[in-house]
Amino acid sequence: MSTVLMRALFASLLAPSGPALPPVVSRSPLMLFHVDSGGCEACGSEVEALINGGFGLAEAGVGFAGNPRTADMLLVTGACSRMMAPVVRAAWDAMPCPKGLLAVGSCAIDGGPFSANYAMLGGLGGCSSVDCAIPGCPPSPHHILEGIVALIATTPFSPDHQDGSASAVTG
Amino acid sequence: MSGGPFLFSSVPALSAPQRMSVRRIIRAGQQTACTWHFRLDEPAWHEFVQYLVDDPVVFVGLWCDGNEIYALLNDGSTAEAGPRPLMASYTLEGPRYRGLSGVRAAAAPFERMIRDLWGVEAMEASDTRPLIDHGAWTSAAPLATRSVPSSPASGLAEFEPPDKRVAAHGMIFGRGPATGNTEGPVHFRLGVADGVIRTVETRAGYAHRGITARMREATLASALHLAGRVGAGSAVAHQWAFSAAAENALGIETQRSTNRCRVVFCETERIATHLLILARTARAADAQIAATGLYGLRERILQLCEAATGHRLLMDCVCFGREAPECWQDNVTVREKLQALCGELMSFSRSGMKELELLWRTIPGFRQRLQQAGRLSDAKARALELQGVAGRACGHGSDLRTHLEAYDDALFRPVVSSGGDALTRCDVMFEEISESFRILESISEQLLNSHDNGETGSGPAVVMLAEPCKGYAAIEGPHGPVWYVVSLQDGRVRQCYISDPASRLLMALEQSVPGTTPDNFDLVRCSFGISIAAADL
Repeated sequence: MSTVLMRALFASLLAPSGPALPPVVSRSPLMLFHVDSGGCEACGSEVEALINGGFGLAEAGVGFAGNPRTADMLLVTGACSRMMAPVVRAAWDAMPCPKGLLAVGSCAIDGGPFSANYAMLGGLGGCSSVDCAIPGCPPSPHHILEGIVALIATTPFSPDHQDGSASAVTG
Repeated sequence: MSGGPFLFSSVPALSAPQRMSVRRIIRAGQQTACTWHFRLDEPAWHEFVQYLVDDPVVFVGLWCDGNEIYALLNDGSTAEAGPRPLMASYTLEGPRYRGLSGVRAAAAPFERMIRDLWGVEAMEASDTRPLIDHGAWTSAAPLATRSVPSSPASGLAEFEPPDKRVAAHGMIFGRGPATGNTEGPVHFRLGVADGVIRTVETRAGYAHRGITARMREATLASALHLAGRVGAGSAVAHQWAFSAAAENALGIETQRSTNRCRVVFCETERIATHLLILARTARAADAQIAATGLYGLRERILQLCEAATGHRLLMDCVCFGREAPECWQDNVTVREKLQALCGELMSFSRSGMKELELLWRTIPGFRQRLQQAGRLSDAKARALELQGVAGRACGHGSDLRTHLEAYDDALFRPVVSSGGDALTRCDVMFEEISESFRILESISEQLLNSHDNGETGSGPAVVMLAEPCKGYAAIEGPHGPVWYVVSLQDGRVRQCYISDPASRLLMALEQSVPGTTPDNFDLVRCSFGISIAAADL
């Protein structure tokens, strides 16, 4: 069971008040929304290759959404520029709970060659909690897929993420 | 009265006034240690700008280092000529200088970037809007000596007032920066009225990473690494251009085998990038079957690249002064690997490409949809001094490869067409892919040439100079010419100036979209193949 599903289960069981979350087990496949937060576009093109290059994404139970409102996980590439931080935040806020954050590429994890400066935050690592990080500059579609599948297969549940809001990006 | 011949008594002969040219004005300036760089005083700079209006020199780029403004021109008299750089600089005496965009439209994004980074404004500029600084940075004019902390931004983006017809009975559509697609982050504000797009305004800067600032004081190795991250689609072109510029500065002559390896990398990258642009365009035009085939072929090529070099996108394959990174060890094996790569690319990709081209031509209604979509007139292309695929699709025959020594062994012909629409751009890309295969075929035969086998591939010894030195290079990347001017000292980069075609292509997109229906916007945008990362730097 994926982290997302586990989180949904815990969140629906442990939520102190409010309406119960919809039964997320019916939500299939795992939907990702991609945001390029400001990089060299290499990771984005590898994600594009993963989607269109015949990697059996649908068979792995993974799909890509055109809107964050219908996504389970936010897939972020790029080192997160200060201009993009509010955009990433808005996409995150628009996603329904439970939700997760996936950082693809060295830039998204710790900035890679684009450390923090006047225009960059230097990756998501310093300003948010990432559920899954796939290193590489850029990681190949195989590595990205393996990372997503590992995320689905394993359940490293963290109590910090119960309400699905711990991963918000702060500018 | 003295001097000059006399024809009739004391009446002097009529002599044709010698026309001033930009070349002469610049060359009359103060010569620097670099043979193609001249310093101008204020009157000469003004005169230079004045004569730039109708001079045949080609504008390349405009940069600043805080003390001086640098303008780089290609003194080739026509866009078809090879790289012959001519740089004019002007020492700033205040926060303003006479801008070039009033006479050369392509200078506008450079001027706007200089203002955002250095706080130095261009007078008589055609566009004074911010380019990349929209109030989100920690400081204003971050590269200036007296940079100040930014005041909190309002959070609201500022745009030009809408077109009258759009304001009267049209609508404004925003697109980006996060669309769920994988193209770089950028915002387009489309003004739609009467069923067509009437205005387009681009808000860039989302992918600005501070490449210029990061290049300063970087070692050659880290600067080369960074050059490969300017824009992924042209990573090889950028790394080759940086390496060649640094080699030019240090007086290093690369071996022929090194150049051949770089040509293999560059042409393979061109094929892969063109396939990606074509696939995106097909997808945007709802020709999913063509898009799937193009994506599939690109993926197979990238897998071959990974098997041969360890890098799918060929990043970090270009190495300073030598044909391959040191970790590749045996350089003969490198050439053999690249020859095998060329062989495999040609064995299946050529036939696959022909099938895809046939499919491209036979999907019902597909070509009709691309025809006339996003048409850029020849006059507009000339005004922007547009080169690369988009320029060649408008009839401009400029292709730097025909002038580069590295391509001496390669057999190919530059592809030029007219029409200027999305269909023509795609057709040019298909033709260029075929030409790149021809180049790979001819180069692969030379890779193991017995005459060059004495070349070790490790290249000449690199001697770092303690005194400042400057070099340039221009490489024809997948999107157009990539220029680098680097200034080195003590083995480090003092300044690195980059000119990528992306900023011109973005301007070309803005000018070609009006008149297009909103559902064709994406296919027009994709057909230009703009790298937002390379435009934002």
